[in-house]
Amino acid sequence: MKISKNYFFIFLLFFINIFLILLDLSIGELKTSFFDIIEVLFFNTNNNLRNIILDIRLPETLAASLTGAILAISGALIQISMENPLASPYTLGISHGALLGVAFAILFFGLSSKFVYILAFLGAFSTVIILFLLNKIKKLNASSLVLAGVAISSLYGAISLFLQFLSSDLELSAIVYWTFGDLTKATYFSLKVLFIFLVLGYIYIELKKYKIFSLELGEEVALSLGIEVNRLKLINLILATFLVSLTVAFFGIIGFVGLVVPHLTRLLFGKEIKTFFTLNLLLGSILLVLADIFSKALLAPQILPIGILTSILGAPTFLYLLMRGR
Amino acid sequence: MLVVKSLAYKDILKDINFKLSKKSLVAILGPNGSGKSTLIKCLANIIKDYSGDIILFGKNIKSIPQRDFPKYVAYVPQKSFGNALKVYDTILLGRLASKNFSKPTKKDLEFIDKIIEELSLQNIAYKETMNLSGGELQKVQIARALAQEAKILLLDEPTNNLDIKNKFLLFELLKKLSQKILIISILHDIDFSLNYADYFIFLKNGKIVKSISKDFVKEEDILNLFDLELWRMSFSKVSLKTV
Repeated sequence: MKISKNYFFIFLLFFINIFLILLDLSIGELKTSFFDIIEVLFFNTNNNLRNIILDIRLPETLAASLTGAILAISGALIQISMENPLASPYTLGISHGALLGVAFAILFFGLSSKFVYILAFLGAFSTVIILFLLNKIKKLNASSLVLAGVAISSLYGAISLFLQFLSSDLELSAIVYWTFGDLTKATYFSLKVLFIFLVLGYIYIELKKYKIFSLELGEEVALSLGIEVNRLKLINLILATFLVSLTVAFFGIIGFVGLVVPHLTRLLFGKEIKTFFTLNLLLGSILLVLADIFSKALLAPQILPIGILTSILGAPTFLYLLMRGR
Repeated sequence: MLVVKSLAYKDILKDINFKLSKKSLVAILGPNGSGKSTLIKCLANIIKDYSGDIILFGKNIKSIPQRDFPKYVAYVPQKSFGNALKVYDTILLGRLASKNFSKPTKKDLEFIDKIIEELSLQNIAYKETMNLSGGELQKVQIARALAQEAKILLLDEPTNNLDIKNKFLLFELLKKLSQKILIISILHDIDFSLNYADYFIFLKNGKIVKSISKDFVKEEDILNLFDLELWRMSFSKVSLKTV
């Protein structure tokens, strides 16, 4: 047994994360320095800057951090439970299911309805159920499962378009707005909800990580190791779907983070059971905060919706994974 | 130790009965499609909807809770695929399975180190299993199964993909282990089996045609089992100790 150097990396990523969050806070239309931010956050200076940073910038930055972490752990859970390296909330159409739920909620229950969250989850979960059943009927390999995800995405996309066709101008703009993930929608309420469920999800994963990783040994071996395989997979998928649907309900679709981060974690730090999920979570947060920085810096003073940025960067990575195969 | 009573599964297994009561190396031999793997999977509690009874240490295996099963039986499948997990972690999972996946203790980790040393896996202990050769992967799977410290070890063609030297080493290992636990293995290497196994179960068309101790195996038995009337084997003349 040797002490893993990954513990050191956990510390390192944590501090990189803090640094990037502060950096992200210092970027915006009003020029502020790194030290201004520290002053505002830790010393009670009472001025306009404080309002800008605490009310506008901080929610967005924290939303990036939390959403990145949530998408990363959801992606890892889905990849392990589907035994499929190409699986992720986005590539399987889970995010699109959530989006369809959001469109339904907006159209039938109004813009500010709390049904948005419930229907987002139901929409997302319907994708998982369909994929799970398809997989039961005929064992799908990695590529065909993703193809099934594409088919479901386009079906749900078409239904969303139909709903947009039926909707008023106001509803239409709300639905369209949701299709590109945008963190400027963040409120302290959404942050609280995301934080609570991220912590609960992380605790679940840390408690069950050895069982979860046993799934990597294949169904038969996992069974012989005393794991109730189907039950464990289903719980993992429900948790991942729920977490993803929350982010979609709050901010819209932010693609490819859930796909790319688990692979990146493995490439950088290896798939070590003790530390994988923690590193994966921190890396997810780092990547999305970084994306948030770019989304503000690229077309300043315009803020690019972050979902557009992650898709531009994520799609080539997906193609690379697809071409590389297993 | 292990009693199987009128076990049947679909059309694959028919009225299987046997009783194994000693620590030993038991070889299951039979032509392709004779139901060997299915039998092993029933014993490993992977297939559960069979009829008949499998009794382990006086308990019907259906009455043993799933999570306690790894303490009784360890299983190594026919085909193992590598994955991104490290060799060390893979073996650790076997260990933890036998204690309901509670947190690994120092003792557990020392035990893993011991197994790694015993099977001389030190050089690959921190490699990802997908980067291993077929032989190495097989050894890691066996190490994972041994880490369970189960009372019975089930192996499905463990010598697949192994070259002659690794086969030899594996059989030496199994022989040594069989003094401590009951090992039941599907085997295709008849020469090796006859040299190493203590007991034989001959399976054909889902039925046991014979189950006998090593000393009573006749050339005729093997020839009949594989429908090889014309082909005369020289198994009795081969001494693998000289390889």
